[in-house]
Amino acid sequence: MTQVINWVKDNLLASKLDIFLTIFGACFIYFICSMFFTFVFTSDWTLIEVNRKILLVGLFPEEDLWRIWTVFFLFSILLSSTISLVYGFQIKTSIFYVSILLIPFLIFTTTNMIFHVLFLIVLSLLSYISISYIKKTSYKVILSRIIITSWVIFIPFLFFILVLGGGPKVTLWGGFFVNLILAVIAILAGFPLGVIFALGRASSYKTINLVSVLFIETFRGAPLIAWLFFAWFVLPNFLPDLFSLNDINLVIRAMIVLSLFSSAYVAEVVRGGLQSIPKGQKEAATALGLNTYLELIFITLPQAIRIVIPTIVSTFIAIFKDTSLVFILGITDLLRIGRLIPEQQQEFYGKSIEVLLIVAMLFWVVSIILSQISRSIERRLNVSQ
Amino acid sequence: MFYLRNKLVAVVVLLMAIFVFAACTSEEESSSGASSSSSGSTLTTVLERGQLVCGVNDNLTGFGVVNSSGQFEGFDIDYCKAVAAAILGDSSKVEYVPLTASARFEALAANEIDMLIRNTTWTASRDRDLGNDFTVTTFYDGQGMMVKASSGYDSIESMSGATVCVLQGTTTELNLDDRFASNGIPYTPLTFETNDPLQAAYEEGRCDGWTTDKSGLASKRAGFSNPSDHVVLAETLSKEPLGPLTRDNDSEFYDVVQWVVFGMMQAEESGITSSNVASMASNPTDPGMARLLGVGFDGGEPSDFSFGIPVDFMQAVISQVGNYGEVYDRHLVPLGLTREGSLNAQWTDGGLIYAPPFR
Amino acid sequence: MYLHMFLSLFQQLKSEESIGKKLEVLFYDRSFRKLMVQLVFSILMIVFFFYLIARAFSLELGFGHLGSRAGFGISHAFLIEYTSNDSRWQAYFVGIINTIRVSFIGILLATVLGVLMGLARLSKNFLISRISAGYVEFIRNTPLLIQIIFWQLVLLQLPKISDALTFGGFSVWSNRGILLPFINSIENGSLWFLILLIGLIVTLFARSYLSKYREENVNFFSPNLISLVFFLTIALISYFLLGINLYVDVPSLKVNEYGTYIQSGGFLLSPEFSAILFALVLYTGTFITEIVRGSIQSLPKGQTEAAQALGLSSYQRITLIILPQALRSIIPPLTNQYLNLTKNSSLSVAIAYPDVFMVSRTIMNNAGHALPMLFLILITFLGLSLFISIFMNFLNRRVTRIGA
Repeated sequence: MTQVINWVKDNLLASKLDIFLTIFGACFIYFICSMFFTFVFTSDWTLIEVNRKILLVGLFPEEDLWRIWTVFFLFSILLSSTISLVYGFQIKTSIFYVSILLIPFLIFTTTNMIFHVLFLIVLSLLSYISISYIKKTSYKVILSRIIITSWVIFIPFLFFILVLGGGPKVTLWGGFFVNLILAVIAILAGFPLGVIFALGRASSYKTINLVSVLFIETFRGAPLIAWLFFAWFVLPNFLPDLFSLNDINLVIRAMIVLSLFSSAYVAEVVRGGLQSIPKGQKEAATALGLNTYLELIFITLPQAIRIVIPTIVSTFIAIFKDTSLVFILGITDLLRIGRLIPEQQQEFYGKSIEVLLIVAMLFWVVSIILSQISRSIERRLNVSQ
Repeated sequence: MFYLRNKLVAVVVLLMAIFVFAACTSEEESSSGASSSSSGSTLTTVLERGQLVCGVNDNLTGFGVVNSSGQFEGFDIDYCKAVAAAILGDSSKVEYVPLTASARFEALAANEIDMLIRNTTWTASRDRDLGNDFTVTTFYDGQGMMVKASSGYDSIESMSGATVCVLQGTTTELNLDDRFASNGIPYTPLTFETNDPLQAAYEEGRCDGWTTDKSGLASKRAGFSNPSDHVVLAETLSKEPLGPLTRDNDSEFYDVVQWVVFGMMQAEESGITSSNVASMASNPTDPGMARLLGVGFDGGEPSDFSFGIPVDFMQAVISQVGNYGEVYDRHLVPLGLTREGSLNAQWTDGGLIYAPPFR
Repeated sequence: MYLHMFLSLFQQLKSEESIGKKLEVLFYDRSFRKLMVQLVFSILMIVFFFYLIARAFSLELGFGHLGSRAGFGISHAFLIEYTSNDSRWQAYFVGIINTIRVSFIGILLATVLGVLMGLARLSKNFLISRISAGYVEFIRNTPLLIQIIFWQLVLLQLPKISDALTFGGFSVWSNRGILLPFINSIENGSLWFLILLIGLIVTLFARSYLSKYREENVNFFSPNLISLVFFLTIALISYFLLGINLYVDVPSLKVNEYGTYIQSGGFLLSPEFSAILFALVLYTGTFITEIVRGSIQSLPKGQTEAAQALGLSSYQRITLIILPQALRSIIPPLTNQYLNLTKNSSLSVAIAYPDVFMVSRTIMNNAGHALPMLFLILITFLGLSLFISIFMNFLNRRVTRIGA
């Protein structure tokens, strides 16, 4: 008991200013929480029940939902395998992630979805636990190569599944699904592009340097919303007529622009990492007889990227949040659908704040998981160094 | 070991290339977008594709909206269905592409859609500058102003100094300014990108008035919790003839769209409805009706106007969609937009709905 | 240097006999390889750019349309008089000014909030540091767009103009904005304020140089006195030249003959401007909080301990020891956040605040010409970014000059 009192005295009541701050803080928390909880418990949430499917996948036809489930299963297997391979099995963090993910699952799962959700949970747990049991390093190395390859072929595979055998038109993609796909593709495509541009920026070849600088600064020069908007009108003209590319869909155009934009930001971050590598590494590599490319791949890049991983993850979080800007192209992403529901459906008239909260919550769940991952990576790096 | 890695990389790249190729080509087959070749006509493209791609609105009640089962419905939507029925014989073979007001013209010019029917106003600059052609006016609209009934405004002059909410990317902004500024009436425009913050602002009294096409005002007013709290001023700020659009230099398709609409107007004038079209087709009462429905009269040959679509296209249109009056009654009468005495009545009733002869 | 390299290369080439050997010499020479690679790359790039330019001709080009009459109204026109009869260039400039207004005030407020919250995060008070942590976690992980819309909805909940709160005629609060009393002059008021602002900045710069000068020459006048005199001179001269006649602008809410409420006088904080400002400040504030926290934590603990050993109070410790040192690692990432804030201000297109992006969107909807407008936007934002970067670089150099 005295321990508690001492702790309170030290942390909350140390000085006059402290006491004042504690009182102010307590009032503030009370104010915000009471507003929030009264709102949550006194408002009518049927609008979410009715619109579950539309919020998550937009106008995606019912009979093709198995495609999305397949993609989701594969993604979760890949993700849980990667996490368990890198971190091993950790109870505390897993409980944390599961509890955070529980919120949207509870809100959005309906009875006919329950089997899919259970299957998903079983699959991810299986892959997570089974991989953590592999202790032998050589097996781990092979497994890591398999996983990296799988991530690399994930994008084309994703498209393949989604459009295989007369899949639904890309115009029907909508809801949270569109946000996730846009973010995943922007990240997976933007990362290698960004590394290439960073290498170009740091290269000693003056022309390559100039072109990279031009490209990076141009893309960072205008806000993303301007790029998206103009890409819509301007991009089709610049794409070649092969594969009827100049007719491509809005969602694909958004993907292209988002990838290019994220690559510019990743390039800046990786450049910072490249600059922080001591010159001795390069000299040692030359002494060992490695040429520039070998040295890059085996020495410089792994170190540079490892240093800037936390910053890259925060860039990815920013890209994920920026996918909500595609409303300007008329793409029905989660936020746009959320805003249209009170307008289009008479029975839910005037309930914009409820919808905004749910939409914000979905974004928040994904972002916080990503930022926790980045924080744990940071901690691991600091410990190991 | 190093060379093994090289081989691995090569295999992975090859696999990726295969997947990308497969994805691209299979996407092409099932992909959306009216990828008509630059020289070919849209009609050929639609026939080859087996589907019509229509640019529409998705949040204007009565004209183009997505209902709770995820289906598009509305006045404009029905005309898409009519054109699909005429060309492909099936009014369900339509892909609807929802577009914002600012996106619509570019979508048409960029071949993303075959035709645009999205409560779009026919203006000189749009006809010329933006590379599209307006077909028949299906709805004679005008820009109006909606105000709260409690405000007591009765004319535009009385709104001196008011704040007006307006949606971006339409002629409404320019018309609004023309009406107010050139008459020396001070006002403040609040230009919004989408309707939801605009509606919230109007309802909370942030702005005194909401201006858009009267049809839009009627549909929004019907959606309010208490429609009688709002009133649409009698004055029309502009002429807003609404109708379908096709691309410039696309005369084959243009003619088809135009004459489908005329056909529906003529059908109403001749008294043909979706319920009696079958009997009228087998037993036309006069040569005009026979020509309209693509059947022979009194044992003669059906008239073929060489549109490039089946001769009896109007039968498919009327039986699957209806005539002009049926479409109007189905979607616009519930909004309170009555036809009597308005410009949208038949010419025989003093309105502007007039079809040139099918001859 | 290049000449020397090529001379030696040439000599080597001459000394070899066969063509094969000559090619080998060339291939193994590093500078030659570099030249070749760059040449090939440049050719590829030139081809690519020509392709882009050729493609660009199918779009409408030219800036001529910007000279014609705008034809649309703008709700917030600050510093420049704007009517729909003015040219589109004028409309664009109004947009730029709106962007600068929201960005400038946003940067100031976000920095203050970020520093306060960063310090709060590291405070020993459990409650305060948890509040700060919660603030960062919740606001940072939600998209900015959602927050802007949320604030707009919240600000609409203020009373309607007919039931506006008038604090004894001192201020008017309604969902059409907050009207505050302001000092204005009958003519040239905004121009005078602009001159005062510029004069203040110039005076501050001059004062810093003067203090540096004073360090080297002990007996010099007080730099504070000199700069004060300087500033007052500028203020008074411009006062008389521009014929300023100051008066206190008291807000008033009147009803005109038709029943419309007219707000006049004073300084209007419209709900759109406030919503964008709140959202931007809160959002960017979280990032600044993290930056401040990170840089303070990277300081050696010995500094804090030494300050406490010297008997400095918390306030003295923070302002005299911690913050000045932390500033060195704060400024580069802070610049990044400022640039982000400026670019994020273009999200005001979602609510009716006419910043430069929204104005160019309107112009584009009326007159086409997408590609020239894109160039304009690029140039505008590049210019703004450059301005902010140069200023922050100057600060950075000043801060890193001090100490080890």
